[in-house]
Amino acid sequence: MQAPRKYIALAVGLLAFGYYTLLSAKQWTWIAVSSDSGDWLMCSNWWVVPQPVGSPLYISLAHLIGFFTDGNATVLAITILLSCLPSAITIMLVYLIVLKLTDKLWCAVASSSVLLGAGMFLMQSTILEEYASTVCFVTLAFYFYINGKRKLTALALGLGTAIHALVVPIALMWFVFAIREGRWRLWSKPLLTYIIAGLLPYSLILILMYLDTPRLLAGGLTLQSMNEYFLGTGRAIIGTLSIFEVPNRLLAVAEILLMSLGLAWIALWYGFKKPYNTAKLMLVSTIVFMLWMHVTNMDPFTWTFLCFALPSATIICGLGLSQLRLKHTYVVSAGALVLVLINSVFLNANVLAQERPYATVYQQELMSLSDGSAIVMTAGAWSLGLFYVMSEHPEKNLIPIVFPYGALDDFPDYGVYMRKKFGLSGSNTLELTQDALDKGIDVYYAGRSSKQWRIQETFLFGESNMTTLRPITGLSGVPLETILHTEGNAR
Amino acid sequence: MTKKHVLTYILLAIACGASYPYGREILIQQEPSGYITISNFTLNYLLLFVLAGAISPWLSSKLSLLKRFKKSTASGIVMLTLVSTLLIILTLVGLEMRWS
Repeated sequence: MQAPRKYIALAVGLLAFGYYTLLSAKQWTWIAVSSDSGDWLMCSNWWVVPQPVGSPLYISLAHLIGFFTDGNATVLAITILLSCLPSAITIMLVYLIVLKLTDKLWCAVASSSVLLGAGMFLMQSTILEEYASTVCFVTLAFYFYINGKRKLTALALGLGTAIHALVVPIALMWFVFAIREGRWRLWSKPLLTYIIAGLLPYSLILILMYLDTPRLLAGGLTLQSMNEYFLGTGRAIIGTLSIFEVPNRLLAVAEILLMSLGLAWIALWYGFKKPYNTAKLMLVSTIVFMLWMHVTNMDPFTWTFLCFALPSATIICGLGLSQLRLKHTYVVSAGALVLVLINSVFLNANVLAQERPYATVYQQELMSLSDGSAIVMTAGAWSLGLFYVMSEHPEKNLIPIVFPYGALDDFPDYGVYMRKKFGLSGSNTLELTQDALDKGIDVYYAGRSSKQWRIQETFLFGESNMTTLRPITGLSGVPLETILHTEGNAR
Repeated sequence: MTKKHVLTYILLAIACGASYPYGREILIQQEPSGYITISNFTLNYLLLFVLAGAISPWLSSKLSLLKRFKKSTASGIVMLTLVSTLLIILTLVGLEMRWS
């Protein structure tokens, strides 16, 4: 590659890194569906099984960062090192890939600009989440592939898998396409590299299950808890979107794709046209798989998975631009730069995190409770947030009563953990709450006062000035069964 | 660049601008809101039917036994057999727990 082109690649990467760092959230936040951040922050303090299905490399890196930093510095370091930096590298890789495939400088610059201007990608690059790192490794794998580096392709795919298991189907598709060319023998050794780099790290999760770690998100090393942990979430949400939700989902997908890709659609249209070689099949299959993943997923927040498809889409955009006149490249680049500017105002995670500080308010209010208080909450942002505060301040001895843990038979080790660690007994949320009240423990409900969270109907509340916590004075008498078996109940 | 391209770029700019406020709200949300409809009739099943429907004419043309039937009938049978078999397999391996 010519020296000036290398410097441009470096400049593109540095520019993207500066842009993302500037806009990144400088405090703990839940914006842009980053409510899992509580989990990752807990893992920066404790060796503990995180949310399904593990993310062993990500929690190891978070733990490493947590070893050198503390409090908000950890939040900032993880956001910048594991979100902003990988995303900036991804932007640079898109530039290098398009340059390699088209040998046209302006197409490469335009493609990386489109990705930089994509609001969806920006939001996952400026908050504390695992997607930016995963996408970076997948894009790196593609870069190595087109440069004929098979082992490095497998290694990068493996590292991506060790962060997010959703890379497994992508890797399988890519291997199938590569092997289709009749080069099975060439890929047998890289396949071993992939298994070692991608699948072997998940043994860390099994080790953590085996060890006496807090049973907050998974049980011990038994077949039942492994089945529930590794397959439970996927079984519940993947491919389970009701047909009645489809119009809304498609509308939402259209909105976020239109606002993210701007004027790049004509180039995309040309890029998708035949002929298809193996590299292009890899890109298209990644896009189709991620679209299917989001469009059929019951969880409305899985648009984050579309970020996996965006680098592929922008590379295809570059391929399309190479077939068009240079004027198209200028128009697409200009459109992307306008989006970069607009996003810096309206999708500024730093500003948004300060405007909507639920996570930090929750943190402060938890810290204001008396030591040994119990908190009842639904599984998700509030429970993961509490786990983080528990790991940051174990001296406060906060007690997590998570709904619906214990009310279902799929997590029996949680009941054992509650009894051994906190001395609370009960087979469900209400029994645990009553036991805590009987023992004179201060019990609070965490979460906003929304009719969506029907578990609130089972409690009586006292007056409180707090925003995220309300003191529970007793049970209301509403049976738990009516909440558990009500359609549409969020838990 | 043709006039058609220019017009398309203008329309894309308008679509991008119009969808921006709605897309932004989706992107910056903090936690789930609203109710989720739970149903056994999922989009995935519909896609499976579409997929089976798309490949069944090709498949039926490959089966010599089915030549005596009209292609549409054969396609229907192949499609239903494929989907039913897939659903049974999914249920048996426990991937679709809610199907009953």
